[in-house]
Amino acid sequence: MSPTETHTDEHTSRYVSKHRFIVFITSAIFVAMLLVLVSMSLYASSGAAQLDLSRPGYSSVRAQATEDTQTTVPAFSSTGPIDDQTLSDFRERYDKAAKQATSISVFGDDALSDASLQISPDRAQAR
Amino acid sequence: MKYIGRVLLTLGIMMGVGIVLQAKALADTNSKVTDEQLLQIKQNCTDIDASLMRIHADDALLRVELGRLYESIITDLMAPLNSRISINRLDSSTLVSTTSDYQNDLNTFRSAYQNYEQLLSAAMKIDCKNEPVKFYEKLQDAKKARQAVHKASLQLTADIKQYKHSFDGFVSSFHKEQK
Repeated sequence: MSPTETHTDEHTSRYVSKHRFIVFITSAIFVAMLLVLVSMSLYASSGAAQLDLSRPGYSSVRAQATEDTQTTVPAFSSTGPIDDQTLSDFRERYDKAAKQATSISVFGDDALSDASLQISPDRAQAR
Repeated sequence: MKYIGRVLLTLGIMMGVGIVLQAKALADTNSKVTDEQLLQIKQNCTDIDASLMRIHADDALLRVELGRLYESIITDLMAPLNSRISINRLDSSTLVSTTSDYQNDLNTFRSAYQNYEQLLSAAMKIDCKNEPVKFYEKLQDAKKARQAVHKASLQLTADIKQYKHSFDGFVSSFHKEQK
């Protein structure tokens, strides 16, 4: 290590020793900000943001979100024998769940179409 | 002279290619949104924003409810049945294969929705009164992304039906073995 580097290191460690409290507070704030950045990045990239109904833009539908029990099906046991009764029980549960999941067509084209958003030029011509 | 000629020819070709590409880019931009549509966007900007906010919120609720149901189907029904069949030393290969396809398609659905929501949010952030062209282009991107979500949901529906079909096949073979 050169004399200049040694002198700089000594100066730095003297400064830190003299201002320990400020250095500690600054480091703690810096680490906290870093962790916030990491957690926000995970929140956005993991898809959790899309499922978070507590976001400001979702206040109108928050109350409509149903309890877990209303959209999930009773769990089928993974242990036990396989017999006619078990298979019949499974069929009943599966048919109920499948009906809920497949009864309606979702995320169709209509919602964002030019006509429904009043961007269609036909409306201009009609006027 | 020959060298200068070649240089000029090369420059001329490059300019020609550049002009053609620029014209194509302009044509593409012009074909995306018409003047009437731009006028409609500027005039109805407030209503369009309100519609997009409503769609955004409704889609989020639908995603949460539907996602919960899709998850429940694989976690509470498919996986336990596959496990139970295996424990009883019966053949569950077809069911397992369909479950695997369902899981992959569920991941595709999640990614597709995430992409769609991000694009829609980006479109909503653009001021449609002052930047109608940019707004319209972003909206078209969101529209394509929504189509991808729709396609993913249709695929999940097909997988659910396929699993039912595989289950019926398993039950038939189970009864045959019992006899």
